Amino acid sequence: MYKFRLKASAFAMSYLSNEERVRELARQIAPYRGDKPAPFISAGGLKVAAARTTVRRYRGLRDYVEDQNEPVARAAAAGCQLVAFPELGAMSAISLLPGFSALYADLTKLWASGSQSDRAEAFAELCATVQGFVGEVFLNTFSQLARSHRIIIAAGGLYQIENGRLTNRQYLFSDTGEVAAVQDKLYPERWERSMGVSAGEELTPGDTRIGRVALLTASCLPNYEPFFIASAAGCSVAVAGASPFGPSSDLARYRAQESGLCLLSPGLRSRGDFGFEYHYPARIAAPRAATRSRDGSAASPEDRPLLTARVDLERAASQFDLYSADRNPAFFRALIAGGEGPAPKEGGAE
Amino acid sequence: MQQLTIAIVPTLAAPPEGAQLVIFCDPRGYVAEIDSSMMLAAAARYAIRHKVYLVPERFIAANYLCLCLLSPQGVVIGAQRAVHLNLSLREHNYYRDDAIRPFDTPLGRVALLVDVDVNMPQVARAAVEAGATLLLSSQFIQLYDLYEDRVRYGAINAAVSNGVNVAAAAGMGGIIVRCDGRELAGFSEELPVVAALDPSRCHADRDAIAAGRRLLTRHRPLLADRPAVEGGRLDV
Repeated sequence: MYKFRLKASAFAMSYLSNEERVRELARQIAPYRGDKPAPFISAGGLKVAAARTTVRRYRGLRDYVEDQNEPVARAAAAGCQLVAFPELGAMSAISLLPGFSALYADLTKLWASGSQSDRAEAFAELCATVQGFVGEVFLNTFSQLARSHRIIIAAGGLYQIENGRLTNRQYLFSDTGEVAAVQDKLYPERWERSMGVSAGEELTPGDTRIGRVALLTASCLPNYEPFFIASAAGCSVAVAGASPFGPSSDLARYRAQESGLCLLSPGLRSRGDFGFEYHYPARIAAPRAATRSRDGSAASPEDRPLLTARVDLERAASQFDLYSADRNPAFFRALIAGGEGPAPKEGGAE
Repeated sequence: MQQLTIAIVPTLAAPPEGAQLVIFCDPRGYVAEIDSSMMLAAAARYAIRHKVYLVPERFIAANYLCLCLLSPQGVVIGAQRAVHLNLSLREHNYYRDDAIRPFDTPLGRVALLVDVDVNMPQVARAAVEAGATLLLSSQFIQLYDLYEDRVRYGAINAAVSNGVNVAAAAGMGGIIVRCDGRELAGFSEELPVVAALDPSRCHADRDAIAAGRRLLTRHRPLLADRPAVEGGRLDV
């Protein structure tokens, strides 16, 4: 019954939504701003925003577009050049499916009774079936909102299957509404791996008028590697926000300090519409010298729908810390050439 | 392995009762090469007298900044040269090692993070990759540079990012962090800083470490084609 319902809902949805309809709705809700884009002079005048969104069910397309528009409009009004949303933000558009409540009940039952392989199969089938319309609604909404508000949007994303690979994919939109970067999640969570989600193979940052932006996730935070690579690739901003699997952590401050990146961690809240309740605040971190408080917190974790911060990355780049600025290329070359890392030496006394 | 009681104490101060591993906390940047042998002899006598494992002060040997671990018998059972240096030491043309070498001890596999190496995530990660479950650090921080967050940045970052136990002397204070990220003691300048932990426990996420290794390898052209930089920053 579940499979039939899923196919029928997706088929019905194909009549209810199309690219032009979504774009038109977005244009109505957020008319194109013909004036100048948000001021951006240099990396010394970067203003960014991290949204704390709420995972919920939508009553219709208009409801969805209005909900996405709210933080974007507020960030644009505050003069921000970039606003970041949490990963998987697009997936709640699944609630737009006709008959979603019955479908959700079927899925919940299947989830409770099925084996691990049944769950993984059902999950892959769900993603394959809905990715077309969820992607269409999500991509067109954010493309139009970015264009209307003249703001760069790290919009989060959705599960997508491409060439037989299931990935958690995030999107970056330029302020002209084009897709500036697509990034597959580099460190999938344990649950995602059990569902067959593959890890992204490399970092694919996007070029924007405020510099290069890397789309990372909170699961990257315990690992220095993606942040070093982003920094080496010339990024000035990275996104590593909360997900339904967990919040970002204070490690964001440390990663920002060691990589020199401005790190946006969007937050996420769920009131149980999809069976889970959580409350993960947003935060913005930057190198200490780039923040007013000099502690690396450009905006401390707060339970507000939108956090904004101004960071001075020029100042951060022009200063260095005696205690962490030394670089040892020989060590690093040996590290990446080694494959197995530097050879351990028993009884290191020499 | 049973619980190991670690104490961070001022140099040559008697350890608190029950301490099994002592780290000296000293206000000097390092012990000069000319004084190193005398310092090590004094440290060996201390280890024997108090029957403790001991990480004495940082010292210069053969133009390297070094740290060592002494057994309760006063024998050096492991040593490490600094992989990175405080920039003020770079001026003196000291050499840097190009590898972190954990070593096996009765306390488990130990890596010594010399001075600012505790602030370098790639060093702690390489140590854990090579099997270390206990990171011992001794760092010099100028009085006017010492603020709690700097120490937290080093020790807690190393512990939380790698799921490994860390005991770090920094400036005239210390911090002991368990492998699950819990701060067992410190950061405090009220010495001794004392805590007990199981040094063989390690929460390292081997999958994530392997994923990081794969990422570095895939981006090798990006990283290796820029020999003057590491992590995008200039090699100052």
